[in-house]
Amino acid sequence: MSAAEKNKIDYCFYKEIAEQPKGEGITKCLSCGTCSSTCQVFSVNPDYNPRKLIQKAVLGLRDDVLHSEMIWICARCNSCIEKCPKGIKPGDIIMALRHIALKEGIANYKGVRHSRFFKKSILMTGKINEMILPLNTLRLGIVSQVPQSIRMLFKGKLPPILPKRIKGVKDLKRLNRLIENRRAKK
Amino acid sequence: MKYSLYPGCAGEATTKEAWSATSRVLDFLGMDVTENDAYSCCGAGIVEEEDPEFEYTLNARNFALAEKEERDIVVICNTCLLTMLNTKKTLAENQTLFRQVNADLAEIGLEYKGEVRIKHFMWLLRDDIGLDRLKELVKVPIRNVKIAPFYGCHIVRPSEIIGDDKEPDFLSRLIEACGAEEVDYDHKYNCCGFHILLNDQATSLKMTEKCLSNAEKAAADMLVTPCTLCHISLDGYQKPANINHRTEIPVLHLAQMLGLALGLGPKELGLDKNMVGVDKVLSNLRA
Repeated sequence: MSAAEKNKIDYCFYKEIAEQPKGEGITKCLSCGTCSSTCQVFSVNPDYNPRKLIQKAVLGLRDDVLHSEMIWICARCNSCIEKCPKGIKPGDIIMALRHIALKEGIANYKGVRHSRFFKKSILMTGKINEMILPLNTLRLGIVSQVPQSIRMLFKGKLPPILPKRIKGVKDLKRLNRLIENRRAKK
Repeated sequence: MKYSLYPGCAGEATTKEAWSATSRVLDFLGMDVTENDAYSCCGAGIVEEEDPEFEYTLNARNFALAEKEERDIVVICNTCLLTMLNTKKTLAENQTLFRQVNADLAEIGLEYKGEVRIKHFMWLLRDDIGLDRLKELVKVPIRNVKIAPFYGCHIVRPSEIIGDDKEPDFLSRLIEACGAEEVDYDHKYNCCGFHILLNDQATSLKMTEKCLSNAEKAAADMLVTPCTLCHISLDGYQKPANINHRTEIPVLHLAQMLGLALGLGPKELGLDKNMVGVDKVLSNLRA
């Protein structure tokens, strides 16, 4: 994506966010920065700045916000939700942005692959496959995890490649079909 | 009170020792607890990012299974706790969604009435057993060890879902009840960084290290946490996080600490499974 495309302004973006589940707070943001000052990710990584991220979203920099790793770096510690003086739940706004990115099918970010894997894994076995999850998120980057995996192997803590399926995986698939069919009709 | 133990995905795989230790402790305390191999993952708030309705339905199915057995759910993972309480709150506040979810559950022969209670193991100890009783039960006090409590985010925040006690102190009191010295330090309610361990590992490990080195500066010999995910970061990933080469700090699961004080064996509490060795603690116990 070119710089010009990233700087394109979508004046309705804040409305779109407000319509997402948990996104309604965005219309009340004062950009006071309490979220950033209390953010535990920001305290060790200043590249992740929730105030800036939300301000960009308010200004309508839709592609800049959605086509980036940033929205996937919130650690969901909920400190900002606790401290925001306007009660707008900044962390929930980040979740609304993730929701839009996932709906839009924006790929190629670790966070996107990570989020998508959860539902897929649950529909297969009912649980999160902790062996495949890192592989799916990191792809070739998995090489960096080898020393850690060896340490875990020696402790017998490496998760099983094929986890036990829960009783009733079929029921989960059925529930998902009901939800998706309803969504398709809308 | 009858309970159904929900170990969570981490409790069934990477932190199995927390699951077995919790079972042992609950047995020891004489609680009526069963398990259910039909429970699915709670969705961890991550399924909610993609498909909120599916996450609420997943949890409602688990709730319905527990209600069928007339049991409340006890969890050992803070994120399971928050995710389940979030579903409960969302469905209680949205009757249309509540009815829709139940219409879907009816197709698989289940009903969620809205009655099941969700409790963290730490809350069960606090509410059902109580500190006084636990003090009486301590057989092998963990003396000469300074322990720092690490609560984890999702058992504290957001207060709108978890409850009004923004600075709980039960874990600190429990450390004292077990005979150890509690270490007060700045980072006891901080974030371990677990949820971005894969999305941004460098940042995640910096967050982990910040908590650990803060506890070390406060002279803690070890940490104790009620959350299996915090344990993965603090114990499992302590080695790569430890860039300053400080002395390694063992991290116990809540059930491991309490189990030791109740006189259960290190083996049955799975202490050999902790990535950072806990020999120091054990030798103090024997001394």
